[in-house]
Amino acid sequence: MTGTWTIFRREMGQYFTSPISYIIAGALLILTGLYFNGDVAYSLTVKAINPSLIPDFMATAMIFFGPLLTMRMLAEEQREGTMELLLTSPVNDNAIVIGKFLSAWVYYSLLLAITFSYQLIVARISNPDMSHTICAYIGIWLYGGAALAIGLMFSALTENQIVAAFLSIATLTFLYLGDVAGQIVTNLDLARAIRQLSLAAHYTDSFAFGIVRAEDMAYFAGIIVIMLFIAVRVVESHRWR
Amino acid sequence: MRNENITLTRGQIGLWASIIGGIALLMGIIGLIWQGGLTEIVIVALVIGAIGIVLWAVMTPREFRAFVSGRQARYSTSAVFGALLLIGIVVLFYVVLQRAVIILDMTEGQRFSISDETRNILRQVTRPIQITGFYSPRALAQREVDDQFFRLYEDGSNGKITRSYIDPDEQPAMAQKFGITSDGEVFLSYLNTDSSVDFNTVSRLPRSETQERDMTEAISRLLISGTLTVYFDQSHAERDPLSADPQGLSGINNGIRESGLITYPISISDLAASGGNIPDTASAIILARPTTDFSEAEIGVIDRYLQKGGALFIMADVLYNQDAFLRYDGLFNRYLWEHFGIRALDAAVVDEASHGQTLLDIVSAAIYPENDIAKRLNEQNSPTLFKIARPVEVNTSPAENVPNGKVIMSSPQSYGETDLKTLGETETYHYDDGKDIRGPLSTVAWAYNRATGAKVLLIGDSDFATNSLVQSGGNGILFTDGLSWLTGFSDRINFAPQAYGTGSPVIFVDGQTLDVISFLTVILLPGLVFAIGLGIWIRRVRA
Repeated sequence: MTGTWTIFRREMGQYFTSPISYIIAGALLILTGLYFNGDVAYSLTVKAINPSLIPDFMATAMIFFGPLLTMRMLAEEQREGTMELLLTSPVNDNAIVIGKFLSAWVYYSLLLAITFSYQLIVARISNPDMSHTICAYIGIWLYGGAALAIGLMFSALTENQIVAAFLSIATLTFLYLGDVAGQIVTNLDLARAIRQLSLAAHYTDSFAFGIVRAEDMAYFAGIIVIMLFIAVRVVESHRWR
Repeated sequence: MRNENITLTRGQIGLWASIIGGIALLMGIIGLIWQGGLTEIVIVALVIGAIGIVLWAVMTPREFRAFVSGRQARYSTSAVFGALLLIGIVVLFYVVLQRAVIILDMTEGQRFSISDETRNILRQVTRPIQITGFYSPRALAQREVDDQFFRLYEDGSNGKITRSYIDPDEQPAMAQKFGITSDGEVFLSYLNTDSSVDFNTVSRLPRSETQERDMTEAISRLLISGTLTVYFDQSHAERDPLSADPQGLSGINNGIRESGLITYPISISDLAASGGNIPDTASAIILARPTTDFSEAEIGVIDRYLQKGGALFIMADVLYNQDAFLRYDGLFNRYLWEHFGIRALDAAVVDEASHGQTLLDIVSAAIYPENDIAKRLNEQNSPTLFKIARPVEVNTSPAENVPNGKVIMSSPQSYGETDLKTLGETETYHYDDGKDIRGPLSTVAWAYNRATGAKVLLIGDSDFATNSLVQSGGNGILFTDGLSWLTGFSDRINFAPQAYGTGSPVIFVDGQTLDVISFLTVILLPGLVFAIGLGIWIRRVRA
């Protein structure tokens, strides 16, 4: 636990002292801001604002945003040769992976919290279904955690950040497009099976509608656990390869 | 040109054999799972894989042995099995939770929960009901969203209601049997004892925003199907409920049947002649424009039925024959007036304010929504349209225990043309002061005997219910809700509906506020983040 906390603090320190983190955060906020304003203008006098507007946007944005946050985490350690230092330091492999993952997830959570300020603005000019919005935020928080875990796993697999990012984007795109598997695959059972694997389907069918399903929470938690397990095993392989 | 010798070492062959063999083996296994059996491609891939592995073992036996039994193999095998075990546990956990249907509805209006009214109705389900949805792979997302709603019904009925999904592309014959017209259609039906669909009870589920109302009403209709019977009298040359002609009533007849009610023809003349009675099971008798008036014996048949709490749906047209139905001074008209305080007048409504083809096209100008019959009717959005309507009179001092009332009125510019002879012969009309009846005039009236439970609905037109006009404005609603009130059908299926999108407020803000919002969210917030980043960068550069 101490090891995890040490790694977590070190990684969070990097996030808060790196200008790149702020550039990524600022860019994301511009995009979400534009998206939010677009919907406000479109909704004016016509309809209520979509309660899951920003979480819906984040579901797509995480395909690129997730790998951006995680691609360097373990790949950079390998490329710069600091992985060996880490492995010989008094922290175990679990602590390395979990600490790094938690730092990325917390950073992502802070960004989500900032975007929640849009809902406070909506609450000032309208009477939105806040509990629906909170539900969507819970969903996209878990979704983001799963996306970050996938990114971290690929970052562990290679020492090249670009390759890690590319593999993560490809996987997240596949898991995102699995939501529309039925449009591509003609076999219904196969399409359902692909959809069951899809990240987006476990968000759009439930959280986005304002409902929490235990199975969806289990899915996201399961993805996080499996990906972190694989990442730990990959890090561990440095000891015996 | 220079000849170059290409030398292949055993090690290189072994390496390539291991790569090609490994990939082929992997593809073969994936293909096997994907296609669910050994196909030609799968066999070829597996054979290539096997040859590759054998070649690898022969060409570089030491590397092969190291791979299989070395330290790397031990570690990687345990890692792979560990990962597979973990995946298995997660999948098992996921499946258990999926079957447990644990859902928390966080929407303010509890839009994805079923109401207590629905649960009460679901408790009445004793015979297995099946929800059959037709979804092709293209409608998969819709199916998944619908499914979680249907699951609530399965859960709420303790499994008496089940779900079944059919791909219309794979089973076109079944799709045709249900009569599907588009992807994503859903049907409700009882199941036979052998779990096959009872096609006599199949009804299509309407698709609207009031998802719970649609589903629960459909279940209610199924529950009461066969318990309500409506009879169409056919002894006075009434309109034909089976005729699909524009003047026929097949539209409303089919509509009644689709709602789960049974319809039969009946001859009141025959019953009067034989001294018989209207069956006690009759929920309502429909007199759809009889052309001749009823005799004393026939009125006796009707009276006996009404004394037992029967219901009468009367559609009386303007008729030009001598013995016309519901003549002002006729026996039946007098009976209605004396017993229920309503009667038909010998006149035709002419409405100077009419926007129809002629002034005889009577559009409802005022609707009294006090009674269930008119609750869904509205002068603006669902006005009724009558053709050559007959005014009806309502006794404003009805007998005790027999309340009555008007439902629909013509405009104040209307009048009742009493010269029916001229109207019938020349189709002309003009207002004669002192002779014609000054408007506004009532065209629909109801009466209810609290003591016996008898109900009568008198409508001064029958054209509105014909195939040619039943779809116009609120005509269909008037007929449906009129019959619902008479049979008590509405009491058995009505419940507070929940709807998607209810209560979502539309936003109203001025341009200045919009500008402030844009500034805050697109400039100030990201700007602050960039500024902090810039500050950190400058500090690092200076340091």
